[in-house]
Amino acid sequence: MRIFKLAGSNFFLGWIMSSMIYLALLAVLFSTVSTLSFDKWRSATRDLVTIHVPKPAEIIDSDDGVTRLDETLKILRAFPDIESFTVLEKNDIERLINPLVDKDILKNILLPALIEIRLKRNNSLPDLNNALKNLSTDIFIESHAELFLPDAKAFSGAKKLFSVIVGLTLFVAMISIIFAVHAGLAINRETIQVMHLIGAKNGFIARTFQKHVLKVLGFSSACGTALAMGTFFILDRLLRVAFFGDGEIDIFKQINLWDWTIFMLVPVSYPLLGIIVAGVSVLTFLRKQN
Amino acid sequence: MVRFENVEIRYRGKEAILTDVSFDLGEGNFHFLTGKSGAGKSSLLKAIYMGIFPSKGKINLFGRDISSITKKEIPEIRRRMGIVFQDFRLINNLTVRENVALPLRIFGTKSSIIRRHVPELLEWVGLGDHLDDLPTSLSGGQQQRVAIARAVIARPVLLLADEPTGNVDDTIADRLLYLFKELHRTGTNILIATHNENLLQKFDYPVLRIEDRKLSFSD
Ligand SMILES: Nc1ncnc2c1ncn2[C@@H]1O[C@H](COP(=O)(O)OP(=O)(O)OP(=O)(O)O)[C@@H](O)[C@H]1O
Ligand SMILES: [Mg+2]
Repeated sequence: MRIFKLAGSNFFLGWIMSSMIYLALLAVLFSTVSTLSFDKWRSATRDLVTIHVPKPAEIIDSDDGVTRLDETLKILRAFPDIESFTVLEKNDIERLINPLVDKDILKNILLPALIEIRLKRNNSLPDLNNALKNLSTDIFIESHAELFLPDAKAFSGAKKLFSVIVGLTLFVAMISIIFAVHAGLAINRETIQVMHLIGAKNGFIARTFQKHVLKVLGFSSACGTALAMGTFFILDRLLRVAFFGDGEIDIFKQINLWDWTIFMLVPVSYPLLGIIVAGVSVLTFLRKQN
Repeated sequence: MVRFENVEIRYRGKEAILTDVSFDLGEGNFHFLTGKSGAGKSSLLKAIYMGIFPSKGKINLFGRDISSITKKEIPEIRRRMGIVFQDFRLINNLTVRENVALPLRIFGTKSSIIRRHVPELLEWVGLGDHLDDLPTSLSGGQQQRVAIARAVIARPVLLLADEPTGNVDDTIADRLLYLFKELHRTGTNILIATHNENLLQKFDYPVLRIEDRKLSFSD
């Protein structure tokens, strides 16, 4: 039974609610995905350092013909806290900077040797530093974790921004419901009067309004969720093609049950909060009125 | 049932419409209320269903002084009344069937009962073919019968009917009066406002008459 006329405000409310739920879902999804990517990134880089050895082929001990690189490797082998290390081949290095530098120039410059090291513990870095500095002050250690430190700040800022977006959408959604309910109360003033004369209690009128609102909210919620999933699916595809190559990162697979629960909280809680807000608005209005 | 003691009724900022009105309608009554157009018939009914409160005097409803009735209690007391409004006040969003079902829904009657009783009654008032029509697609007389059906569907203790035969021909008027008689026989108290003198003569019920803001009583 559609006791109340709500056509105009329904349409308005439907649009706002769909958009707000859509926005909130995108924010939640981006927040989840960025956390996942960031965690993955950090754990991958935490114990990783790269050592730059300039002039690696220079013979530093003329008696034995030992090069600087040989000596460096000797120190590394003796160092207890190293899990593994690889000397990047010249080819690898060239490949890394190839896009940036012209091939011919590449031949003529002396490249440092790069050694990628995975440490057992991150805090053994100063010891390693000392050991290598004794060999040559030019040797330079680059910690990946430190490299990403500015990103960590940006990341926590982004997370805050996502929460603010979710908060804002919730605020706009609830304000719209209050607005739509008041518009509905004004349009249906006579109907409400008749219902009162028939013996309806305010609670009945509020419940009737809530049913109407719930229908709109349920529909909007489904629309917003479907749109968000669609958008995300497309973005996921695009990102994979653009950055990761196929199959290397599957964001959907990484999102676990807990993340999905948080995600589903939005399309469930917005309508629920919405009908509570609608009910309370109707009751306060009717109480003030008579 | 309904007792007025020296009641004065006036709309805000206007002269009194009724002054010093006293009457007592006991259990099992059937009355007509008559008077010229603008005399105050609808206003008197309004005072009974608490749509307006008296500026002077006392009104007693179902044994309760209405000045002692709280806002919260009003719905419960109104549920014992059925009201046929002069302007019908049907809900245009709802079909005929839904309009008549509304009081039962409000009172929380079982759906199965609603589904059975509503078409039965509508059949009886001659609207069996219009169950799913909207009120706006009905004639004035048909709308009036929907309004009557809505007022009586929940078997009220007191039926207040404002010009219930104003828009129908004599055959239907007789049929409606028969419906009211039937309700009266099964225990509903009835007060019908009308300026139709024919009706007063044809049906020999006591008459309350409003003249010059005063109410007089004749058997
Ligand atoms: N809501 C209102 N506000 C102010 N004045 C009103 C209101 N309703 C009715 N009146 C005035 O009260 C007087 C009585 O009106 P009422 O409707 O009770 O008459 P009535 O006997 O029912 O007339 P009718 O036979 O035409 O229906 C009229 O003069 C009318 O103008
Ligand atoms: Mg009238």
